[in-house]
Amino acid sequence: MAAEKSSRLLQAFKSRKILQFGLALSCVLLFAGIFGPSLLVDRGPNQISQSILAPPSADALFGTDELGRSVLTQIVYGVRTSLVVGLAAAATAMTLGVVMGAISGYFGGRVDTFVSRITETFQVMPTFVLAALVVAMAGTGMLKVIFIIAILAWPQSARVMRAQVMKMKSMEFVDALRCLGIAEHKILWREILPNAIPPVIPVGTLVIGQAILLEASLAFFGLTSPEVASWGRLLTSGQQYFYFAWWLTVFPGLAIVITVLTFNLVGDALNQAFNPRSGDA
Amino acid sequence: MIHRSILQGKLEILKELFNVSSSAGAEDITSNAPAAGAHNRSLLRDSKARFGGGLIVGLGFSALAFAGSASAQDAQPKRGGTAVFVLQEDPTYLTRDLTTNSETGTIGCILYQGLMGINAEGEAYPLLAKSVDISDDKLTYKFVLNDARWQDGKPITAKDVKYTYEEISGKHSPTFKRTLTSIDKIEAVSDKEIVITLKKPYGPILIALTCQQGAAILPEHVYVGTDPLTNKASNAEPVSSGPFILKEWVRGSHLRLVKNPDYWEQGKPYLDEIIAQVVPSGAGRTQALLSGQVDRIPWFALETSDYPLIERNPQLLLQPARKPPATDFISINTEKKPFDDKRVRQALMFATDREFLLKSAFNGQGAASTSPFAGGFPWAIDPEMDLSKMYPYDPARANALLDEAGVTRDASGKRLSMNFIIEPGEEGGSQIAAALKNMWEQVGIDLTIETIQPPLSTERIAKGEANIAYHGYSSGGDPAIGWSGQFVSTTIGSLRGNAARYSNPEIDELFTLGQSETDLDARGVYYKKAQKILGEDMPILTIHDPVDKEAQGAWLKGMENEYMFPTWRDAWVDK
Repeated sequence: MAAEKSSRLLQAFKSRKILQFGLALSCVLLFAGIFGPSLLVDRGPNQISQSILAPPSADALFGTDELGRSVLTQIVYGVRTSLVVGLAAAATAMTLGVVMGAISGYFGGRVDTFVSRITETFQVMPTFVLAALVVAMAGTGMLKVIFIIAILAWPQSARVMRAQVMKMKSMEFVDALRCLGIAEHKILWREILPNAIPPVIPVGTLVIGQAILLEASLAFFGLTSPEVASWGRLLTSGQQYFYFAWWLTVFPGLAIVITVLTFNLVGDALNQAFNPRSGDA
Repeated sequence: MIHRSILQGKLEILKELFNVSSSAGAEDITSNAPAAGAHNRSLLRDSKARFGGGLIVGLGFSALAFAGSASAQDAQPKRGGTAVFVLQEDPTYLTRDLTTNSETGTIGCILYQGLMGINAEGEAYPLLAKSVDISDDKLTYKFVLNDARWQDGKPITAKDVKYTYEEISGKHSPTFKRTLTSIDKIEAVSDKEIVITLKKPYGPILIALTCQQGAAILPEHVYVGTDPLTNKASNAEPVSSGPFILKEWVRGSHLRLVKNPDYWEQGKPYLDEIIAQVVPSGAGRTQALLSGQVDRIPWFALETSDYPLIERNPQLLLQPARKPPATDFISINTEKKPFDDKRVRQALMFATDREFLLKSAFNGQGAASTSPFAGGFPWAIDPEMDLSKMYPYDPARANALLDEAGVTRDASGKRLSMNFIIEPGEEGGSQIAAALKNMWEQVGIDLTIETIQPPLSTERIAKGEANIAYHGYSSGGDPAIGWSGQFVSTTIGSLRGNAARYSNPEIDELFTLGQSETDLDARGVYYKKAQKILGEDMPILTIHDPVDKEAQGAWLKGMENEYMFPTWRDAWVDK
């Protein structure tokens, strides 16, 4: 079963330009996030200078902002912020979603009803408003942002997981395991879970994009720490100087678009690869 | 799906930004300005000749006030129509007597009026009062009230005045609380006569009796026996007496004020309606004015970075706001070690490049302060005093002073680590914090920038939990009203009071003397002396004298005689 899935994935990767493209871009982003800052040895993202609102030039490739800080440097540091928030939030959300979904789907009955209601409660919450409220009350901090996004995003993967587990628990191999007298929880965690997880991965990948957007929105409204480089915060000053300094808007805007697009492409491609109904997989 | 709701949220925000009229009813807001702008603009330049040193307060700023009185002569005010102005957020209350919140002031001073009004020169004139009689010893002030009524038909009486001052403003208004300390007694002599007796002559007393200073008269019969903070009249359904009354308030969207049919001034107001539109984004507010959807952006809602945009549009007027001088400063908690040592505070001033802050965070608008007071009151400013000369940007001297004070560097080169509180959305706040972090790093001070929402931030600062914090204070029209609160020991611990927790009996004494005279030159002597001490002690780092500007369409007339928060009594729309 698992072998079949992974060969399908391999096949999908070979035949899909989009997936290749998306993964290549993610590698570039990861590289930029990990090594980028150390390649820019000249100055940090918060280093002010006397050249205020300077247009792009050889000195500052993407221009400078209202405090004379290099936009390029801030964008490169911003990759790190975005990726950390995106990946950590997605990983947390997925873990939470997989566990909750598995319990709900496998045990059914009252447990299922209870978990499903919780899932629904979280799904109807207005994400941005809630995130802004929590940050405003509890203060800024990257961990808080990650936690909030994860708390709000887990229901998606939980629902997929639940459906997957429900389908599998009535399969013959599970019945066979039961006949062998294997404990229920062992069947769930050792046998069903590994087989049910793959379709959850695309959902998790999409969460990365959402998390990056949410972090940028919070930063845009000044709700993240001003000390952490963030594309959203760059856009705030970009908006302020929109008519005088296009470089403050264009470059961070592009960075957000490209990054979110990358993860959404990967997510979509994976989704299609795992979807039995998509024809060419 | 979560990501969809984020996108939707963003769309909503964008809609908010660019389509302000959507919720106020687009039919009310005629778009695009008629070509009335050009000649009024030239008046803006002419008006510089109108230098008026006020009798009661002489404000340098008023000299720059644009005067449209000449245009008012060749054009009769047109009746009817709607004017729209923008706010950054909903007002917290509907009366200025409860808070210094600017949105509240803007709405509150249309709805309610004080015994005195204040004109473009910053001078007080009788408003709800018909006349003022001042005794020769400057201790007794007798006011006779105009024949005005509340919107529920009840007459405004001297009892309303007494009740407001003693029970509402005197207990809740941060500015009027200070005024009340110099008042001995308030007597309602008859229905229409009120006598205020002072303990000592108090220079700014008449200014202090304006709505702008938190002394708008409120109806006793509505407020008696209730908590003004929770009374419906403060929060939703005012019973007011001003030229316009509140018709509708859709929170987060707009307030609709309509003409008060029973308004006491004959023939006023001219407009049928005023709409205060809430637009949270600065760029959105400017765009709304540029597209003609709104008629006016008050000074507190106009971003400095947008001044050039408005300036180059011939149909719009950009003018220095007629308002009391203000100051932007950083308070240092003088109770905490090592900031109790004035050498450390002086070092911080040496380590701060105020010219750079002016150029960057303040977009070159205003000036780097020369005195611990902003430069708005020439009679109270010592011309010899120049902080830029006393404390030029000099990290080496800052380092030397810190060494001398025994604040030494550790192995990693750090002397101190501390938090710096800013409020999100506060203009220039995050830029100042980021720039200071850089500048102070060079002298071994490590800043952690903390973004905290008000009122949480103001509370923490008042409790002395912050080491340093960035503030913008208004002078309230007189050093005795505004500046004293920054320095005298009695306001330690109060909200927006003495954030530096600076306590110096000599300063307390000088501020007391400064407010007990009525002659400006005599008062100036004390304030100049106080500046010398403060310049040496440095409880606060004065960063910037802001010059706030307001913007409006050239088609909006009759706003020439307004101050700080317009009453809109003379406003009309020429389009």
